[in-house]
Amino acid sequence: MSATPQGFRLDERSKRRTIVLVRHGETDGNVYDKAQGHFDAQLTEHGKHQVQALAPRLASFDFDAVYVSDLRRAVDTAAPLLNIQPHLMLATRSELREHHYGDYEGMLWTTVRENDPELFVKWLNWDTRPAAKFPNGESYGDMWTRVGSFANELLTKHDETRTTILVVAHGGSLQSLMARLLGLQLENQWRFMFDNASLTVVKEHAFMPSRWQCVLFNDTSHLNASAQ
Amino acid sequence: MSTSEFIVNPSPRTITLVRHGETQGNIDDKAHGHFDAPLTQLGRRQAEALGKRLAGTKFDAIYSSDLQRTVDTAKAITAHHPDLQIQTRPSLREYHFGDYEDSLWDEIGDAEPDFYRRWKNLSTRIDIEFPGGESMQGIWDRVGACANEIVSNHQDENARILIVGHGGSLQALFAHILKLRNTNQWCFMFENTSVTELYEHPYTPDMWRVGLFNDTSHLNGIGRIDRSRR
Repeated sequence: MSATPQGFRLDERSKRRTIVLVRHGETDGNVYDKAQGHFDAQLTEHGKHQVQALAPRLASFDFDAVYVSDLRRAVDTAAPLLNIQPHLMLATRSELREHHYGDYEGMLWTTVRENDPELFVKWLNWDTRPAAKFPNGESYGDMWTRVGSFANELLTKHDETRTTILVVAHGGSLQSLMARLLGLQLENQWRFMFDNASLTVVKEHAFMPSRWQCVLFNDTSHLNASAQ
Repeated sequence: MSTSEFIVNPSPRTITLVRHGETQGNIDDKAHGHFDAPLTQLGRRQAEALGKRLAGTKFDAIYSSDLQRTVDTAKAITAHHPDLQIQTRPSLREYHFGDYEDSLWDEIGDAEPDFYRRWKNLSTRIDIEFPGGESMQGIWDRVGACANEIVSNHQDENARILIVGHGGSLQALFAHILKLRNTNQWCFMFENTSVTELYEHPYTPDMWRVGLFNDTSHLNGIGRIDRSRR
């Protein structure tokens, strides 16, 4: 950091980049409380209304890049924005997928609880959750690692000052991504509940390159009464 | 623990955090901690818009720092809730910047460059002690004690608590309630009259989650400080 008065105020090394995090619109699994991870569910009619209401809000940003989970509900959430700004290109990434629930994919959580009470309790308790591994699926440590490598790659690739990036993903993968960007601990991630079609903004700190701050979390004010 | 022991509380508690409206110190970028600045005209309009936004919400209690910028913001809320008494707590005050109170941050940077650098560096900030004022650890402890007091005062299901504080004291309060590390408190930037909602987990009492952070949608058309230049 330079000691000259001007250079002193704002660190030139800070790129002041912005990342906007958006969770997909509503699906059946959200309505019926299902373990829906890699399971490729579609948006409900209500979910389609939500993502239409979200699009103009997203269009007010000037995105340099758009990254989307390759699952259909995330791609369909980003689609209305591309109708408004056709110059944007979607980069689909499997690392942004939801937690992989393995054999329990698509199962009601109440059924998981009846079939495998031991895992369910381990999953429900945040102290033991990081190690809860779903049969033929992932543990939260696995997701933390894959989302973390995506975050590192993203920040390395988009190194230009004031770059603005959109990421459209899932409740769980966004929790990991936000916690990674802010430098929180793994078990802190579940404190943040992303609603369907919500908007969250994290910015690079003005004085501290490589440090990020949250300036808005889970805003759904763009969803009017009919889309709420 | 078996699954049958899970009792779902259908009415978990809610805490709403609100930062005070704009002051001249916010515009000039001054170290205003215990310094008792009033709201600007814009700050009063922001507080009125906040009051309207929260008019339809039923609160069981409202707490505020005892400084006038927070009390006046709280009054704009209770104007719509005449039955609520504002409960003031000095422990919700902003950082005590000691000898630096009412100085421009630029002046502090010029006079004490090493100190200023340690303050701006989020890796070294936790060890800061303001000459004649508070240490960051002292602030963390006093705000944490206040958070514990407020949360334990309202044990009823469905209780809705409103807390009006300052940019710095709310960061400490937020991190305490969510059990984040004290070095993570500065990851969250509270703007003037912003609304933040914390919900108690329906399965696990005293475990809190964030449903909304730093929402200022009620300020549309009213105005706010452009922080992008800082």
